[in-house]
Amino acid sequence: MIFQESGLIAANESVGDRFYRMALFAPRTASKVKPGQFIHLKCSDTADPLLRRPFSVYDWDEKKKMITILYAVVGRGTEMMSKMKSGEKVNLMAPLGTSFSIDVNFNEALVIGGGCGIGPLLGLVKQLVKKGIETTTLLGMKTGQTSILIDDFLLAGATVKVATNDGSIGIKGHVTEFLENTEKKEKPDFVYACGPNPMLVSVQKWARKQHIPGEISIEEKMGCGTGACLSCACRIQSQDNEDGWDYKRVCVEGPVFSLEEVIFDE
Amino acid sequence: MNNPDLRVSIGEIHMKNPVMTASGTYGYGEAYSDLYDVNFLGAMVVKGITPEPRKGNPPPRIAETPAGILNAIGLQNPGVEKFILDEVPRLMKLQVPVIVNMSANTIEGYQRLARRLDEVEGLSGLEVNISCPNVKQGGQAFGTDPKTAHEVVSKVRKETKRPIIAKLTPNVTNIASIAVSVEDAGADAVSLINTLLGMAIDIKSKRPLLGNVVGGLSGPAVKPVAVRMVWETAQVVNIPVIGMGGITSWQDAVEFMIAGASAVAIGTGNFTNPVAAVDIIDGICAYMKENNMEKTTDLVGKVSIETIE
Repeated sequence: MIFQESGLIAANESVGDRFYRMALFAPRTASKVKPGQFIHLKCSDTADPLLRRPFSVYDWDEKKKMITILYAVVGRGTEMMSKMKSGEKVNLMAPLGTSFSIDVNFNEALVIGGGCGIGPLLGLVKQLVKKGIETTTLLGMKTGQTSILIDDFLLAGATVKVATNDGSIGIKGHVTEFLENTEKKEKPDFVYACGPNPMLVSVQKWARKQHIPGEISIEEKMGCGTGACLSCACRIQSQDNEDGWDYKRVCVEGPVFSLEEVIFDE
Repeated sequence: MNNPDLRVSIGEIHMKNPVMTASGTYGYGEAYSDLYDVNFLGAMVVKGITPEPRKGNPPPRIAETPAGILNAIGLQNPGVEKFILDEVPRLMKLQVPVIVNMSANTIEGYQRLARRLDEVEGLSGLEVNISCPNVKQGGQAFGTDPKTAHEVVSKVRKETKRPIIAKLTPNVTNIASIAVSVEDAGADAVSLINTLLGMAIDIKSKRPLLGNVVGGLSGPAVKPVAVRMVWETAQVVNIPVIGMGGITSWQDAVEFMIAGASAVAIGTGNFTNPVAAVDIIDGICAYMKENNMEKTTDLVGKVSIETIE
């Protein structure tokens, strides 16, 4: 059930680089959201910028009735958001899209996030750890300036490995380099990932080779957020179709898809 | 004073108020049903149907531009048979007139669609889309020439008893002449405007922002163009004009009605405010009450223009 809620901004802080963490008092969303789902946030009361902006829910606390989103300033909408102050209200639609499977029966999970793709992962990691699943998180970031995010995942109880482009924290390079060095005995039972497409392509190739199932959250330019406009199309394998694929909506059939079924344009 | 009478009829489509949804912004009526009772609407126009399934255009399919959006969906739809099988049973249960938007590559395709949809119970009307800017064949090509537009509508007319609304493109010099032509061909109403053909380029990559390169512009940015075209059209046709293009508030809707629209449709406005249609119905009602208007005809086409000597 989709609803609108007026979220009260409790905090909106820079966490380094161009990233911000916005905490919102949003009781309905906090009680309904599942890991991987997103909210569609109105960042302006005027016609410009016009569209809402979709953000995966980074973390939530049902008791405190709070949700947190992690976002990067990449355009006009997020620029306006970064200037919002605590005490202001923002209209949001929630809870939207599919969620990561957590009703699972396995021992070890690997969670991989790159850049903005870290956005949907903290709540997921918390849930996995709560279920007693040994969770390793691989985080890829541009710089160590956003190291506060590493703390978020450590506090959640995950083992964390970090790769930065500039080498300021962790290994220097891409987060997917960890995969190439994963030994057979360290093979996880399930992989979750979100990040730029080249990263997801590497994760998909690696997981296929290792026969590890998984799920990924993907991103596409979005309009309505409710499945009406068919803007956020992505290519997904489909047996209903002669050529083996169909366009699906990231906002309704996604953003979380099975790792195997997503077709990337390389 | 009593509440004003908001009822409007478009041919045999009897609506309880003048507010409709615009095709392609409302899915098949399921997308907003969590947020409000869609039976409040005057009518629902569902996503365009074609004779065969269409995958649509490669992404990105949407790009934000100043006070507007460009889109190039490319008429993605399951095709008429799957629509009838999967969507119509649910649509039939609604207490709101359902209008099916239809497109084809050929005139025969439009005829086939009209014939097939005429057999299906529970649909209230057909919106003949001769204005889609985002497909390679057909679409807008049918709506830019008065003769071709006439041919499509008159052939569809022979296949169906249902009310026909011709959806017109603004990408023409004289939209009123197209409207006159489709009226003569038997259309019960015209709806305008479809999107304005546009383009946006990322200056870093030098690539177009849309996978289809060009797309249709909608949203508040196009509103003055739409109001002007509704005004021009309403003066020369005797059939109702359904006005749309950038309506996001009841004030916008009232403006279109003053320009000559008997009904209005909400498109892109649904994306920013998912309950826009309901807010707009309430707003029109309050405006009419405040201005002592008893029925919508007290408002439609009442633009006051002083002649300049």
